[in-house]
Amino acid sequence: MIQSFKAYNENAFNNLIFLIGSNLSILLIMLCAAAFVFLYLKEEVTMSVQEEQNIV
Amino acid sequence: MKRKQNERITYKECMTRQDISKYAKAIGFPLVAFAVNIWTITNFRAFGTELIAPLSAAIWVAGLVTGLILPSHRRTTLNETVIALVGYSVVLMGLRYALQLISGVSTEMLIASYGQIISLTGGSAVQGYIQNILWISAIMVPIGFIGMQAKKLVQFRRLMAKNKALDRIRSIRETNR
Repeated sequence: MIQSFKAYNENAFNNLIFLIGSNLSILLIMLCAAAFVFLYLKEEVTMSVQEEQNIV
Repeated sequence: MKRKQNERITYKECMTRQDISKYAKAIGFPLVAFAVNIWTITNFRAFGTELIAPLSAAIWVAGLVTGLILPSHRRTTLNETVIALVGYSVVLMGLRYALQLISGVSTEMLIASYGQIISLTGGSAVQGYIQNILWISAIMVPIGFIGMQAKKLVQFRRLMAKNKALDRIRSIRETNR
């Protein structure tokens, strides 16, 4: 079962690599998705600042 | 010990559960959109890689460019893009499922289900209609989204130009210069 799970994931990963290599649009989509994650995180970091102050 | 004494005592607020959920959403939203999009592209085989992939990439790029140019509208633009992408993928997959359901239906079956005589080309016409809707939504949704983002950019520029002109007039009036 573990072997089939491993094979399934390897197959999926190889398929993704093949898709990226064969189609530039998918590479662009991946880059854009990474940029979206970055922008969303940046929005969150600028919105909420951790409070830190001296007691003494 | 000496080092400990010199160390500043600070009050530091830890990350709350709400913060963690916010970060999870920030990472999760685009990843879900990406996963659904790739799933749709791979399910549609050549139609997906030749047509849906470039048009989806156009939606991603339009959202990203608008978000980068207009930082004040960034959050809404990113949300709009993610929702548009998920909607686009779900609609296309829904139409594919409808096509799958209707592909085995003959005119005789349609006549039996409606209880009404229809022309003999009825069975194939239904498939044609669904394919038309599929093609129209595959092409028109990205074009509509790109148009919407372009309109947003143009409107924002116009508003900025108007504000600039008004500020200039106001400063002339107030300083008499």
